[in-house]
Amino acid sequence: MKEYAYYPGCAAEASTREADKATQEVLSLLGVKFSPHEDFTCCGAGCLTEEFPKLNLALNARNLAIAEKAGRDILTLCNTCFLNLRKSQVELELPSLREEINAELRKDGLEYKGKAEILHFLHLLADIGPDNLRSMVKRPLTGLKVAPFYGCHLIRPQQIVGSAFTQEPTILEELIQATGATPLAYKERLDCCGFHILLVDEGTSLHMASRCLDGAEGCGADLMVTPCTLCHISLDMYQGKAGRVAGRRYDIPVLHLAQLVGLAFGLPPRKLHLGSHFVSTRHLFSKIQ
Amino acid sequence: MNPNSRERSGYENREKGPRRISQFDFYKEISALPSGKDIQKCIQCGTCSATCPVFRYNPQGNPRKIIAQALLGLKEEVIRSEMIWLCAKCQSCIAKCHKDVSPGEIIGAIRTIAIREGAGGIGVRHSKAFGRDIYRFGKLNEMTLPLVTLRHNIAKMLPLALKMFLRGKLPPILPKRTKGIEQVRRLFARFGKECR
Repeated sequence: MKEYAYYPGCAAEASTREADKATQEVLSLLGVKFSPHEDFTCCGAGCLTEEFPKLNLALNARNLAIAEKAGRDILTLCNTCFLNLRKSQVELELPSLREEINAELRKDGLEYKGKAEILHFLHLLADIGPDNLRSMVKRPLTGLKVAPFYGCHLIRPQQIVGSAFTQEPTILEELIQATGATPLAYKERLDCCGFHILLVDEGTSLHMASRCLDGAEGCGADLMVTPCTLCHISLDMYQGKAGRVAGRRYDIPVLHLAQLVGLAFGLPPRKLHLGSHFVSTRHLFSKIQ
Repeated sequence: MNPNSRERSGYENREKGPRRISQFDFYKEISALPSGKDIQKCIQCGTCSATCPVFRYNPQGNPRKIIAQALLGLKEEVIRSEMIWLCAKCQSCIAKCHKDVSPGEIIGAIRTIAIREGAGGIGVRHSKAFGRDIYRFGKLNEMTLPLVTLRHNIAKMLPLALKMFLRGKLPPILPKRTKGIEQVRRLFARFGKECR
């Protein structure tokens, strides 16, 4: 079976480490081979490209070339990493630019040829298929009502993220169904959580997060699930603050996709680090029938 | 002085020009960047602002207006303003624009010019922190990012930081340095001219 170059992203190495740990548990249960590469750099998060557009491209070309050299595809946990690596990949289709950057990379024995693909953990699960996942479920999460939250950088813009998702994606819902839980439909499932302006304009960012939380609460969700480590920061760590901005109190646990799948696979909550969230996940277990 | 001299005719003046006149070229500066190449396609329909989740809560963050001012050549007003730093990069306007202007990308190009021209403020600090951290570690330092961005306003983060600490979510003080950081720094020297 194919081996992946594991690219968790800066957030999963810092403030959302539980996503990294839960994903590793789930990947080994799935029998997916992955290996960390200590020479990967940050994808630039859309900020480095503002200061140094070409440098950002060169760094991502280097990341992709490292995976390529090992004959692996990149597997990431972060929507923003996915989008930025993809954006670089699209820009590097320009032969003159690619040659200019490759001339520099060759000094380290690397070359970007565009062979390595970039996958998000959600794509990987989609490739495995909801039906195959269903056969691995040991503890069906029957009775749990789950609000899926995609996160912008996995679904927009279509010419970059590819045709894996249509304008009305349903893959997250299908995966939730595979765990035995019930996915809910609500308008804000494709909206923005506001993460990228959390530091620059906290008020607006919290309003955006509260809108998403409102939507999930309004449809009666027991919990939200997101494939993105950054959305998780906005929706979980800042849920209290978002509530204060909106003048109310939310109590919606937010799970990483790997945590939900891991629970259904029968992994113990401690291995999935469910206790590290800001919003307590404890009362979820009483809701599983 | 010769009345027919170029100086008297004002020809010379127009070439050096008071800044306001020469700034009508601002759109050219933007479209020279790959992310800003489509600015001239904009017909000011306002679809971007209608779909913008930031604009819904903060009237300052108005993508249509940013592009309008840029097309009018109000360079200084645009690059010194806070409004260009409000974009949350949700990609909605890029997905919805039916003229393929990619307003969000154009805001990115304007940010590039603003940084190059020495603009300051919270958005610039936030953006520049990435370059600095990646130069040092190859990674983002989530511990210092709020500090660098917010400066003295960091106090409001303390309750959150305490909660993070209690749940074992506090980022490491120093991120693990990327292997081959010399390669990364060489790329900085080659492609990131303004960096140390």
